[in-house]
Amino acid sequence: MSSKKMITLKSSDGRIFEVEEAVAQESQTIKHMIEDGYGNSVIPLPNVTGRILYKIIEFCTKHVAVEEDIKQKSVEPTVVVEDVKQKSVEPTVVEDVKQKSVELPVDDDAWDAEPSDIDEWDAQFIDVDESTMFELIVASNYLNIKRLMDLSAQAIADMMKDKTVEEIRKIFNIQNDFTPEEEMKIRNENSWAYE
Amino acid sequence: MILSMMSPLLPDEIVTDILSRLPVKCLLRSRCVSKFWLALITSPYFIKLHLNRSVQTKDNLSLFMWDEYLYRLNFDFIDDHDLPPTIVDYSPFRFKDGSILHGTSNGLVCMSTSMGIFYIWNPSTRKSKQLPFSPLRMTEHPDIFQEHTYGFSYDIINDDYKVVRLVVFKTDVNGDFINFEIEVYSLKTNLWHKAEKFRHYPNSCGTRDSIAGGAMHWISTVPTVESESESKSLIVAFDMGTEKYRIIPHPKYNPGPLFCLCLNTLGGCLSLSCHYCSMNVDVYVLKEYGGKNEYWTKIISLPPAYFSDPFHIVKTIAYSKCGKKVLLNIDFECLVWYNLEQQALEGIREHDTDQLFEVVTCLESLVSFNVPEAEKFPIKGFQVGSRDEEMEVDCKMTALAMNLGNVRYGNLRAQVMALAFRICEICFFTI
Repeated sequence: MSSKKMITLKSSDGRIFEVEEAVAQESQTIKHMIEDGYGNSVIPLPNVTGRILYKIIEFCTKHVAVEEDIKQKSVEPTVVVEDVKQKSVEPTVVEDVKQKSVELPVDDDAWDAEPSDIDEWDAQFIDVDESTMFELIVASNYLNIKRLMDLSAQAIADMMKDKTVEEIRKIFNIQNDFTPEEEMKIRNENSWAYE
Repeated sequence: MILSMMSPLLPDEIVTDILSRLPVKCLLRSRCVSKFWLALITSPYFIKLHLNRSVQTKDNLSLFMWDEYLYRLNFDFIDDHDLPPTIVDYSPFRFKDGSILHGTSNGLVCMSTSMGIFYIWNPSTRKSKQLPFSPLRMTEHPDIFQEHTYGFSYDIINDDYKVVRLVVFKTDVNGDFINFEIEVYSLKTNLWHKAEKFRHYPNSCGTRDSIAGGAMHWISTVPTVESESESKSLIVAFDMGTEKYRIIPHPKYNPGPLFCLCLNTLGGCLSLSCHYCSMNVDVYVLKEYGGKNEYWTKIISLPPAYFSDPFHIVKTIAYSKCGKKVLLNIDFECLVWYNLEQQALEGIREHDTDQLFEVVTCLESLVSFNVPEAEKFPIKGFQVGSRDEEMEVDCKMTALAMNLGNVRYGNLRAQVMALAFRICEICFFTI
């Protein structure tokens, strides 16, 4: 396993992640960067926080493993904190220098994934609060990870289905720019839909 | 770790992606969320995007079943026999015995009242459009029996929706053939026009027009060259866009006489149910439609043992979501799955009333109709040609609606009505 090429990613809040190249390439954005020759240095992802990047790596790792049908006991995205004197301009998080290895939830049965097993895993993965769903979809869009984009978009759509207009505005943080008369006119065009 | 109190504002393309996955009812509500959402949801681009997703995922697919009432059943709940179909009380007219659904396309339904008034209806948005009467309805042959066959489809060449009406004139219900006409209605122009006829018209019992590849199909029985008493069946295709005809070669049937042939659609392909006198039933599907390598493939074979009574009519409705099963309507009495892998019937769902029923599938879409400006204004009063009379047209046209099928008209009344229809056709309005 140590013979596999590792890619180093840095989140917006300075956390460093080392991932296998195959996992990193689940993101088309990162894949293009590697192809353009940036795979040997730290790849900065200023649009993605460490918390979300961690989850994304968890997702990509799982799906790569399922595809390759590899049996592993645990998968460890290592969080390595480097001395940040190099070149970064933004304030970075300084943590305990001890190398921390993080274990991901592992379900041995899922390694022989039937489509339904991985679907169940996906469903559990995306069972998060709305705010996290939104962060995931924005990040997966930026990183161009189609499977995660589809999963989070569908989850948001499913969550929205039975919500009222006011609730939708709140969730999406949207300002109502209709006058009360305009809104009433639109509602009356399909009044049955509001029942 | 900082928890964000409010979700980030999503970029427009992400909002579009999310909204394209929503059912129509939720989208209609969401039109008043903001001006941007209204513009997005009503844009032709979004309507097409939503439709494409509907087609691909088969989410929100409905079955419309009808006997003397119209029912709707969610496709996902077919196997839930405890869940009855819901009666549709929002059709554009009061649905009753004699009302017919002629076909569906892209979430639109073409249907007619028992009096022969036609509508195109989107059951998801609940909007509808009444079609103008066609002059053919009041014919030059007033004393003659008319047999009508219809087709409805999206015309991809012209980005239009077409209704095709095929009328066979006979001396009587089972009488001799006199003539036939074919007419096409275009939603874009809101007009009917006569199409060029083909020598082979539908004349075989148990045939059903069927739409595939943007064409309407029927079966025509013709005497063979060898002997007048023998006949063969031709499958005729009428392209609703180009209005051109072609004959589709039929599959290599099993030996043995055929009792009847039934055309249907399955998964967008033309399907053919062959009912043999031996009581076997085979179902073929036409692949690579219109291509050089167009071919029939047999997907279902039912031995007589399946049926307790002889001579059943088997019609294909749709594939299951997983694609491994085919939904059949048998004898207009029940819905059954045919399991393609196990080659066996399963999961019979009887109709909840004792009536015979027909069924179509319809997906959800936001597709709407463009109503030409002229139609928005009702017309009252007009001159009737040589009679020099003023007739007031009832806005709902119920007074002028004619019963199809056993049509027998007095000559004078027919001429007056023909003129009335022609004028009304030009300045018709939506109800």
